[in-house]
Amino acid sequence: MANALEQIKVNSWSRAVPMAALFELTFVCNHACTFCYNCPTGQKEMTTAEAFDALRKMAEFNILYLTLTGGEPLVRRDFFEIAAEARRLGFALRIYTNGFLIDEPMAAKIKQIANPLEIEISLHGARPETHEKLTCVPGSLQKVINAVRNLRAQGIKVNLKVPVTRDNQEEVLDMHRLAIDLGATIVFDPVITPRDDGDKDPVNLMATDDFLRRYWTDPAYAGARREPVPVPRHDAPGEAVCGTGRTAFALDPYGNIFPCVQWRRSAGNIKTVASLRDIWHTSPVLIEVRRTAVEMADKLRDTQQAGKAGGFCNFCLGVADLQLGDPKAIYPQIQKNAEFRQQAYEEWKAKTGETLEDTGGVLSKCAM
Amino acid sequence: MDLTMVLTRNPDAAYRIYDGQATVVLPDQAEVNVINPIGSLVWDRLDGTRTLGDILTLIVEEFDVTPEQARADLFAFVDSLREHRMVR
Ligand code: SF4
Ligand code: SF4
Repeated sequence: MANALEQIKVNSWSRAVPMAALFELTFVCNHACTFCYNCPTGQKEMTTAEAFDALRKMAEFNILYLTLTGGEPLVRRDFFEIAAEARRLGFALRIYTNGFLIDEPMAAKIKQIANPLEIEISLHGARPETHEKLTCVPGSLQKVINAVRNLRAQGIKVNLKVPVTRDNQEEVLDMHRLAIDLGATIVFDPVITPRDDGDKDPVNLMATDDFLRRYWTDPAYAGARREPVPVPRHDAPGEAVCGTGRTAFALDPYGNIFPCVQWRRSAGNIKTVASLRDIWHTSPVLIEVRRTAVEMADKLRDTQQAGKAGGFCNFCLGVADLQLGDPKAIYPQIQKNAEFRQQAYEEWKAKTGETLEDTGGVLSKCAM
Repeated sequence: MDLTMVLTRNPDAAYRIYDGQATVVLPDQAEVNVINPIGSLVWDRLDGTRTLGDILTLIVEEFDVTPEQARADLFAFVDSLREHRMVR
């Protein structure tokens, strides 16, 4: 059965037929994170009826996996109406939240009405002072811990997501242990991104070089890393560097359709298109991002040959475009991470005499 | 099991059809089920209104299969769906 699924995903990739979407229901939030990527423009967010219409269009477009996010999605008064409608339309749901509002009754309601595959919650530290320095909300770490417990008690899978910064880098191992104790999974992202409007301030919070080296090369961090040993990338000729504009898309609270969550180039507005099919294969923006994603794979191959660690780069075109105004420019955070990833791989190779090859093909690439 | 039975897909199951194959996700199961094209036709029609007999007629019309074989396959398939709590 797994092979049939993989084949469907490979077909989705090669034919640019998306299976997933991310729906930002609101930019309103009950936190005030210092590095928040959201950039409300003051436009009117979608009404309930408009959100229902967007869901209908996504269902007609055959989207299976739908992430409801924000801002903070649970602050929308009609969140459960939207979640119920999404389930009625046959989506497999994920919810990405800061967890602040998830007390016991809320967790039970989420189970009953949304019944998601998984809930993702942001975590910024293992100690209250660290987490709360970023969220600017007293008591917010305890609220995350309570939320995870309440959701796990309902049998809902929880994945904690941690942007690693210089403020929380020394708590990575404690956060990893905390997740295990709570019965949750945890993913660390050591590459900090700019705000959606291009403001680069958050990038200054990037973890230190000394930490990044330890994170990628020290065996103590192996359990916390997504890949215990970084695997060199393998992009077949003509294959895109990631799934932007191909396997998924993102929708903001105003209805703008983006090629993915990070690359905020609007391809149209879901409120004004009759069907997503009308724009998916004809939008100049989507055609261009798909082409750029293929060109970038070639560039990374060249930079690897030039000894610049491109083969270890989990490159994001959206971040490059936001930060440097050029989607194919290698930004410093990714270069640093790639160098340490390469160092870790070379050390492992020297020690074991083995080599690793990325055999995951397109399935191992970022698809959102 | 008999042909007068009316079954319904588990309402917790999310699914779409890709390349003629129903891709079914259940929140409490780690595995995603991909159902072959004949099974997908059955799955798509287990909507609480049709009898298994109605579905059997459709299969025999759409696929090159004898009614006896189709009936045996249909019952085996529906059995496995029930085992995996995918229908009720
Ligand atoms: S919880 Fe998320 S949306 Fe809310 S302020 Fe923090 S980063 Fe922004
Ligand atoms: S790597 Fe960046 S640009 Fe590519 S799909 Fe992922 S988020 Fe989008």
